Amino acid sequence: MKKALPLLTAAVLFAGTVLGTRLFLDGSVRAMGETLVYINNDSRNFCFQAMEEILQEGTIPVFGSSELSSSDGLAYPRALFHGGNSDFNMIMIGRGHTQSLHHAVNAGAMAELLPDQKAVLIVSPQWFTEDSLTSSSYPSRFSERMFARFLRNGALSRELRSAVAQRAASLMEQDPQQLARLESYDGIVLQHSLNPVEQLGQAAYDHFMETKAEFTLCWEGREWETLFTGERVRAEELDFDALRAEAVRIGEASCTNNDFYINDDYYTSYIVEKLAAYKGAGAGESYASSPEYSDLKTFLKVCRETGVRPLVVSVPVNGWWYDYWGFPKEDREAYYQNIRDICGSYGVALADFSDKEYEPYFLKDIMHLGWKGWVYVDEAVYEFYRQP
Amino acid sequence: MLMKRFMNFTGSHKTLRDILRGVSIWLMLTAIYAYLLWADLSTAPEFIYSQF
Repeated sequence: MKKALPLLTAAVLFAGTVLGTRLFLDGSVRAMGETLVYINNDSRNFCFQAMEEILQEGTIPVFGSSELSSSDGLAYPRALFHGGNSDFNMIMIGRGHTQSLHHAVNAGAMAELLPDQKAVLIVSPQWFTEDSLTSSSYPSRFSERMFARFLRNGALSRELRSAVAQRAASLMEQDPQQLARLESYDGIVLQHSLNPVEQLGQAAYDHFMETKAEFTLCWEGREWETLFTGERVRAEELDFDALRAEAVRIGEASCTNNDFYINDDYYTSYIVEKLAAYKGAGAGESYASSPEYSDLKTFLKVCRETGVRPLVVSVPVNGWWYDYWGFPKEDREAYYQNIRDICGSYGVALADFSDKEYEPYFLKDIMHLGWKGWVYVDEAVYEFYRQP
Repeated sequence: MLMKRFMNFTGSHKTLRDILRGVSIWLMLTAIYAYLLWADLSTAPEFIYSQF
């Protein structure tokens, strides 16, 4: 006993340090509260405790990709809902190259947190290329914390969790260490390893990594201030028709140097110098066949098994640009119909904006939601939220 | 002088010496823990996102 006294002393003190650190960080994340509502970055989105704090009554998660960074001062959710100073808030989760598979994991991990068991998935046509997710894009957006929570969600069938794990592993070629950890999760969580050392080690690892996620968020957010602005918004009083009219006015002032209704800065930065080269260059492109369709079905299966009701938002392409680029109209129409068919087969709500390809200012460039597009999307999401 | 008296005191009290050893081990573990909380442990490859 006396020989073990140093180690026993160290163990007791260290256990207290670990638990005390976790308690402190739990409290710190809770205290961040309202500052997190419209912060959409990995440190927040990968921290389960942060999502638990903000997914409260009056909120709905909106899973998407780069359009969630396409901000403006009118109807972009952070602006429209005054930075969270509102009785309704859209919790935006995702950035460029976070697609259906990422959000299937997010939905499965966070299912128990979702108010009213509702969620929104904004689907972009550009996800549905032949390559879709790649072994370089997927790992860079991968959240091991949410993946672990997803695997441990007993409401999901083992078959579905295993299928997602295999799909994730197939995209981890460029991150062999993460792949090894995924295989470890498979053995311990999905295969129910009876090795107590493995189970204890995994539990300790999970505890540490969740503490680390909280620390990262608290450290990065130490100087964040509330994004609250103006007066408290009452969402039921929003005049979406007036907002659409204002969106047209802003769009007209922002898109002046081209015939594609693309905002001036984007056109100058990415298009004007290569305009001639782009003409007809998209003739061989297609959204007809892509692994993303299977990933989208996976997202809907996760929703079905966890009782989450999703609203899928189908965003159009910029019709003028895609015609110039040469991307076949028939292929675009086939893509939109595929989305309609999948949503119909799963019996989920669809906000179908495929008829907006030629509506000025619905998009602000070749693919991202613009001033008018956000009005439409906000209106659809709010109506979905209000449904019983 | 004080340090010498302290060392003599702890040397003659085995239990206290063992506890101080335990505290030393705890401080080392805590430093490692703090480093691991702070360090970027991501193994994901760098990926450049294009707006276009």
